[in-house]
Amino acid sequence: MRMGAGAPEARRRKEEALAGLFETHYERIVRYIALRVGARGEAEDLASQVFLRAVEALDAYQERGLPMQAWLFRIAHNMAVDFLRRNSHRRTVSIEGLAIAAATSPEGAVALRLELEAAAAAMAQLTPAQRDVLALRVLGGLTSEQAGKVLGKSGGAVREMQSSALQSLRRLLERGSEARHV
Amino acid sequence: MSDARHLNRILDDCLDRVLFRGESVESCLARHPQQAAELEPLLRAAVLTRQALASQPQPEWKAQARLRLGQALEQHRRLAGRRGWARGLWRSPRWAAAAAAALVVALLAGAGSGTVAASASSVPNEPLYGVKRKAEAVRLFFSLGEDSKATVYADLADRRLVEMASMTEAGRPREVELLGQDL
Repeated sequence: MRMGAGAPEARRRKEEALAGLFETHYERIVRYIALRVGARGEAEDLASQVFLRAVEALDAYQERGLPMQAWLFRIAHNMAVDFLRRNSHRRTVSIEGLAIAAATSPEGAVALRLELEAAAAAMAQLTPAQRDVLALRVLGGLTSEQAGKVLGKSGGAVREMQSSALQSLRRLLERGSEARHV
Repeated sequence: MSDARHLNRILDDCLDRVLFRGESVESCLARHPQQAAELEPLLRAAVLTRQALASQPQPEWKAQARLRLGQALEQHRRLAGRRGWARGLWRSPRWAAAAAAALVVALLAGAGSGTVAASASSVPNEPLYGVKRKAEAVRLFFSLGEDSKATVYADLADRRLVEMASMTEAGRPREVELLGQDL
């Protein structure tokens, strides 16, 4: 049911919720989109568009089992899909420009950086569906049920994909580690 | 429940605890000793991935995005306010009749369709700008239903924003101010 203009209080609450989520979730959405489309600059622009699109659709938004944060990720997901469709010549996700978090201590800094680079590279080798699930869960902070609503899948299906994705990631990391120590 | 599904649920719960509730991997493994050997490499892979991709977006990008969001929310509020105002007037038969008469007079006193078309690109303080605004008023008057009017209002707001950008580039702050009052 669409919200009529006779509910200004409800509209104001939604606007405030959206503004609040911008402050807490903007970075997560940028990281999520960056992982999906493989380019930081475009991710920042698309993340901004996610919130603008949310304003356009705000009157129609109803929290029916889909919290606003998950709704934002659904918008981000659709936007990433549209972007990739328009730029279908991009066969692989590039990790260039996806800044790696620096090591927090001098000891083992080099080893940690190598591990982090390996993790980022391994993510790029997952299937798009696996990368999507992990992006929503690990970067986006959505529960498996919420991620399911974004992807149009059940919570159980998301948990299964998540497990499979992490198994693949683990194998890729082990293979990379063995190669580094040869 | 199958072993695989059971493990998936435990892994899911541990991911929530470790990634978002500050619990350590060791604490989660201690909670599930029978599955610890399988869980540990998966949890560590998730933690490493999040660390690897936990870069902060550029602050200036976020500032720009915040500004755009603020402008969009402000426009959203204004449009909602105008819908409420217009709806109130719409219910007044006297106002509706007066508005219809005024618009007809404006059309008759104005210009033909060719002039209206020519006015489309005009900006404030140009001769045809008044024609452009009258044409918009007619369009709004004849749009039926809330959704249709909301669409027209949104389109008109977009036009004002484009005009404001044009006036800003041309260094005409007075026109920018006038247009801002119309938003």
